[in-house]
Amino acid sequence: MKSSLMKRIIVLLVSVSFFSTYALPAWSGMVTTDQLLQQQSGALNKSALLTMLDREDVRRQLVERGVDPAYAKQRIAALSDTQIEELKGNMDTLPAGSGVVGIMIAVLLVLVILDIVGVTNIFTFINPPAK
Amino acid sequence: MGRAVKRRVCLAGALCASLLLAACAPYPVAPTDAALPRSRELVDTPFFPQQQYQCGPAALATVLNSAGAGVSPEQVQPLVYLPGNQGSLQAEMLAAPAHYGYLAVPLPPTLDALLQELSDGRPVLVLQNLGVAVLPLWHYAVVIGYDLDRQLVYLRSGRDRRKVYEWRRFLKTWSRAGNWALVVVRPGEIPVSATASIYLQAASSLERRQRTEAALQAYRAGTRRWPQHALLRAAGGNAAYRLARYAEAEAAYRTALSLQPGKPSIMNNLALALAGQGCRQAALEVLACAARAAPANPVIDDTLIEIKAMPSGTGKCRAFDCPVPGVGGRP
Repeated sequence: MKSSLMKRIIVLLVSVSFFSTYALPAWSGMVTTDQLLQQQSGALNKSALLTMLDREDVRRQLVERGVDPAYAKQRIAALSDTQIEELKGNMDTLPAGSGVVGIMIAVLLVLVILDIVGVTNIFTFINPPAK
Repeated sequence: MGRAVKRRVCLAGALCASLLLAACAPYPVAPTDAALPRSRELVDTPFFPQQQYQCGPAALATVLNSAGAGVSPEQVQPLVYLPGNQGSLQAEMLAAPAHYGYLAVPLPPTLDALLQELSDGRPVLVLQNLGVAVLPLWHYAVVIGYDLDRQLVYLRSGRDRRKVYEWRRFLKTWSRAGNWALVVVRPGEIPVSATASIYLQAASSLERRQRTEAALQAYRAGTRRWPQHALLRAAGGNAAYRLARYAEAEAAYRTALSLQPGKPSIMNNLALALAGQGCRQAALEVLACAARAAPANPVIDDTLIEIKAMPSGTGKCRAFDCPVPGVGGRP
C-alpha cells in the first residue's frame, strides 16, 4: 500500500518535472542510437517508464551526495541507459566512490606499522615501554 | 582528524602505496607494439594543480584543454564531482566532455593502447588505485609521457606538475584500477587505439547533450575509418534525421541496411526518413517490411501512426527491396 503510493508519487514527479528532459517527443517513433547500441549488446529493452524511474533514482542519489539539483538533472541526462544501470545501487562501491573509508583504514594501518617498527609511538598497546 | 586525513588523499597516496604494496593481478610490463617510439613526453600539456580531493576535475580539465577546450577545473567540477563520496565516478568522467562538444573515448585496457595514444600526441587520463585491492585509494591523473629505456612514466598528478613514476610501480597502480583510461578528442578526430564500437558509444554521448551537429561530424569520421560498420552508419542517419536532413538520413540508413540486411530497427528509421521527405508510400512499404521482420513490435506500431500523421508529398522516391521473406511465400 505504502509502496504503491510512493510509486505513484514518483511517477507523478517524474512525468511532471523530467518528461521534457528525457523523453524525445519530436521523434517518438525513431529507434535512437542508444537503443541501437543496447540491442547490439543484447541488453533487455526496458520500458521507457522504467528507464525514467531508474534515471530519477540515480538523480536522487546524486543530490543526496551533495550535487546541486540543477546540475544533477544535467548530469543524468548526459548518461546512457547502460551507464545509469551501472550506477544504480552501486554508487558507493564503484571506484572513486568509497575511497575515504579505505584511506582512513590505510592511514591507521600505516601508523600501526610505524608504531611497530618504532618510528612513532601513538598506540600504547604496541611496544609498551619496558618496566 | 577526519579532514586532515582526507586531505592527504592524493598527496600521501604514493607513500601509502609504497608501504602497502601487495601481490596483485598479473599486468603487462612491456608493450608488444614494436613501432612505438622508445620515449615521448608531451611537455606542452597544461597543468591544473588539484584542490582538496578533486583529482577528477583537475585531470579532466587537463585533457580537455589539451584537446582544445578552454575550461577550468572549477567549471568541470559541478559536472563530475560527487561531494558526498569525495570523488568522481568513471561514468561521469566519460559523459562530461560532451558538454563542451568534445568526446571522451575510453581506451582498450592495454599498455599498447596507452603508449600509442601518447606517441600520437594525446595525453591519457588514467584511474589509479594507490592503495591495495581491499583498501582502495582511487586517484585520477594524466599520463603525459614515458621512457622505455629508463623505465619511467611521467604524469600530471595532484599537485605535481611532473610526477615521475618508476615503470612497474605505475603499472601496478594502474592495473589495480583495471587499466582504465580515456582520451579526449574533438569531433571528427578518432583516437588511434579506438575500436569501432567503443568509438560509437563515445560519439553518442554528444547526441545526449543535444550536440547533434558535432555527433554527426563524429559519426561521419567514424564511417570513413570503419566503412563496413552498419551501426555507425545508422547512428549517422539518426543524427541527420534529428537535424531534419532527411535525404542524408535516408542514404545513411540504406547503406546500413546493405551492410546488415533486414534489421527492423534501421528499417523503422528509414521509413521515418522517407516520410520526412513526403514519400509516404515508400515509407509504408519499408515499415511493412520491418513489421515482417519484427511482428507485433510497439515501436513499429508507433511509427505507423506517426507516418500516417505526416504530410504526403509528390517527391521522387526510391523504392526499397524488402529482404525479409513475406507470409505465404511472397517476397
